[in-house]
Order: sequence, then C-alpha cells, then structure tokens
Amino acid sequence: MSEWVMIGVPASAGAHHAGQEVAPEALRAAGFAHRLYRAGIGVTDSATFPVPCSPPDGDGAIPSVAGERVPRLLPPWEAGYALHYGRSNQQDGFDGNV
Amino acid sequence: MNEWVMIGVPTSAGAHHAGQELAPDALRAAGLGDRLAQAGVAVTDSGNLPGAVFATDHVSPTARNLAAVARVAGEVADAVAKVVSTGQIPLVLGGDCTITIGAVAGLKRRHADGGLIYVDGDADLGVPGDGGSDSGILDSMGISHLLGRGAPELTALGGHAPLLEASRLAILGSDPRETDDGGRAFLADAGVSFQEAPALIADPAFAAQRALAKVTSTSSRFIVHFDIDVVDSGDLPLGNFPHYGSGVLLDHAVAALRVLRSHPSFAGLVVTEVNPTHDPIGSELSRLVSGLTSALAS
Repeated sequence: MSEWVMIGVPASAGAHHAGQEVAPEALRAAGFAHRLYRAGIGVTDSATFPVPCSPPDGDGAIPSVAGERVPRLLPPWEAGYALHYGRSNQQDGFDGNV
Repeated sequence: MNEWVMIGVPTSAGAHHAGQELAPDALRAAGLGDRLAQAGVAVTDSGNLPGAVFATDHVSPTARNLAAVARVAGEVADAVAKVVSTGQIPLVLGGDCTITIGAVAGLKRRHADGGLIYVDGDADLGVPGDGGSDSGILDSMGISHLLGRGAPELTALGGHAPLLEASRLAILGSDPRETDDGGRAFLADAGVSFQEAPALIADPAFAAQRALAKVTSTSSRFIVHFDIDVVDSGDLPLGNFPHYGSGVLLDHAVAALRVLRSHPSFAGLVVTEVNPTHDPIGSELSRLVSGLTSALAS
C-alpha cells in the first residue's frame, strides 16, 4: 500500500480574509492523522510550508506559524474559539509523524 | 452627558457559520471600553447576554436556527429596553445582524415611535422560503422581518407586526450589487429612505443628514445599526461576509456615524458582523476600535 504524506499549507493569501491559515493545525488538532491511521491508512505528516496569511494589501507580509512546531498561546478570541470546540488553548506539540 | 452601556451579544445563530459569537470579547480585548473611556466617553460594561453559536440546521433550511435567533433577539430586546428606560445609551456589540430586530423591539417598548438608521452592506430583504433567499440565513433577512415580512417568531417580537414602520427606517450604504430591482421597488413603494454606497462615499455627512431628516421626521428617538460589512473588505476584511469592491472606506462609515450619533434623538448603536477569526493578529479589530472611538467621542 502506498503511504500518504500530509502536507500542511497554512495559506489565506488568496482568500477573502484571514482564517484559512489555521486550517492545517486545526485538522491535525481534530485528530485527522490519527483517525486515518486507526482506519488502516498509512500516513505521515511532513513539515508545514511557510506561507503568509492574508493581510490587507499594503500592510506587508505576516509571518506564518509554519515550519517549526513551537506551541504558542492563542489570542483571546482564538482561545475562546478553541475552548468552544474543546481544544486546548495551546497548539499541541504534535511532531507530524504517526 | 448620557452614559453608554455596553451589551455583548455573542451570537452567530443567524449567520452563515460560527465566528461572530467571539466578537464582543474580541472587541473588549482590543480595548474598546478603555479607548472610549480615554476619549471621554462614559461607558459601563454590562457583560454578555447568553447568545448562541451557529449550528447546522437540517430541519429548517428556509430559516436556519430560527428558534435560537428569536430567543437571542428577545434577550436583546429586554436588555436594550432596560438601558433605554434609564436614559442611558446602549452600545450593543454583536453578533450577527438579527440582533437589531431585538434592539428595535427594545427601543420601542420605551419609545413607540422609535426609528432605525440601518448602515449595512446589504439591505437584508430576504424572506424565508422566498426564491431569493434560498440560503435560509436569517442574517440576510433583518429588514424584511422588521417591516413585517417573514417568520412570526421575529416579525411579532414586539407584540405586533410590523415591528418597524417603513416611514421610520433609513438604509444607508448598501452595496448596489446586493439589491435587485424587486428589492428597490419594494423599498420605494414602502417609502423607505434608501441610499446606497455611492451616496455614502460621495459625502458621508450629507448622506447621514438625509437619513436623519427622514427618520427624525417621524421618530422621537432612533438607533443606528452598523454592520461593519458596509465597509469594503478591501479596506477592512473583518466582516463575516465579504464585500469587495463597494468602495466604502472605514473613514466614510466613521464620518457618517459621527453625524448620526451627534443628533439629539440618537438613542443607541448596534455593531454587527465582526468576525475575529478573520483577523488573527488583531490589526483590523484595532482599526475598528479606533474608528468606533473616533465616531463616538465628543
């Protein structure tokens, strides 16, 4: 069986507004890789690409969370969102390898 | 000087998806209360109402989350009525646009001739079950419900329909691409003052004065609904539903709000559609807080 390789691309640069850049981490936090693994699907998690999120034009690029998987504190509204959905208020330290 | 009372309404029940329920606390975290106080605006914070979070609704696809929307609107009506009855000014922090139905109901308990100036990127003329409102998102149907068209749970929130007479309503700043000919004809026939984005851009103060002239000719008190999506998302990408290309800048909206809130009949402000998840570093929230502070400071 071929193995799947998960590639996170935390980008919202082409979107209507920011938000999608948190999706790869959110999918990981929701247990996507573990669920695949438990379903018998071989999957590894590669490093996340460094991609800027979506600033308004003229404000300059915003550094992404990408690359190293350093846990970070969330701003209050993100923390509220995380708590609402039962997540920790810190990003997990998941190293990307199942 | 009348004191403002901040009322948080953490709800996205009437929206396209979750996110806006985080706005009241995000605005506080961005320093709204402190900035207003520093600008000389007397404000107290009454905290958050219970609110509601958007949920997938497979049962009522033409009026999604109607029960939650009606419950929250009722809570807003109670809270606004309480503040208005003391002579204070409610600063309602939404939350999606359906909360304005409750705010109007609350104002009218104290001032039966109360009016509304609706500053919004959309005219919100959808009706449940109408072909033009297939999304079932009540957030896009607020004006219809205020004028008596739609779900009885909302149209009769004030005890009778219509909750708001067309002569006491002015709509300001909506994107012309969002209203069809049928909608324009409905508003014209009803006698609603309707100025779209080009009028707001051309002269914000004059457009605000025109809206005031209409509403204050029939209403002793009025509230202002400020949906931040009246601002072009190219300038402020913070609204829950993006509006790119209208050309309305935050500065235009602030200039109009400053005129509206300076009128002696002004009785409150409802801020809607802020989605903090669109602003991971808080820069847009900070701009909005600066704009609101500028508009509300004496």
